[in-house]
Amino acid sequence: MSEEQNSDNIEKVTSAENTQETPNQDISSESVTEQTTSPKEVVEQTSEDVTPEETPQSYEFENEENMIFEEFAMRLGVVAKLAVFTGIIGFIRSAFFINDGSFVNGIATLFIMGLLCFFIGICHFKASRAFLKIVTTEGDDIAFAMKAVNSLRLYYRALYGIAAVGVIIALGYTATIIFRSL
Amino acid sequence: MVNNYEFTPEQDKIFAELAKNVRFVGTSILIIVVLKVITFFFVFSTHQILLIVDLLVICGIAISHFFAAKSLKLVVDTKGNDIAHFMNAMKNFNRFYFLYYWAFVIFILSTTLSYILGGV
Repeated sequence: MSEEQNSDNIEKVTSAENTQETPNQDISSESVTEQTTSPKEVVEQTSEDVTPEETPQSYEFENEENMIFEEFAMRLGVVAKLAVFTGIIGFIRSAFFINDGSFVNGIATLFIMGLLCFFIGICHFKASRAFLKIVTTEGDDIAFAMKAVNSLRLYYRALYGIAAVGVIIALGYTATIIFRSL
Repeated sequence: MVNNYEFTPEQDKIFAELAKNVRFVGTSILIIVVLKVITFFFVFSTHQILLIVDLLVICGIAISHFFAAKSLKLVVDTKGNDIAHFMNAMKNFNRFYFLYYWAFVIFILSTTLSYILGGV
């Protein structure tokens, strides 16, 4: 389905009708709290130099911005499905390894391929859903944006460690190649 | 509708951590690209020409990470343009996933093609 068709099909749901779609408090509690507080409370919470005009309670993304979120959500969804699929393959492979008595390979596949890919998939699914909610609902855009950013933050936290290990392995590999060729 | 939405300090913390991690991932990717280029000169062979395309895509991914990290940092460091910086970050993430998406599609197609041709 094309993006234009997608945006045509999207029905904007008002926040009053859609109160059950408010994101979980544990994921972006601060942003959700902000959405529900009165203007007076916001003034009390902010620092002295920030005026109420500078801290609006909610923000509604424009159509062009929604299109970016929609496209982004679609791509995140694809990556999520791929990651979950790889994770499931990892679980199956690790079961085969363990069944054959190769426990080290089984455990390594379970953690590296199974659990890690599954985790990446779930992070992307959550981010994708939250970005899509920005497009399909009204009134809680910032809360959903923060929920999506939170999911991406968890993913990048994991990727931080993977990247560090990757650099170390690449350094080792390059050093080996250089020493062999000398 | 209000255009100058300002993220709260708690939300800024989330953006700051994400920016730090995204920048680190971008730097790591660039380091790996440089190391791959070094090994390319030491173990040169004709089939490694394809590696250049691979490296260009990876460079694109690293650059989009750098730009995304920069925009996320600007969300934290500046006032008055948070939404614009946030949207810039999203656009750069979108570019990364665009590259990722098509790299995967090309990988699947080339694997399937080589399997079919190999089978024949």
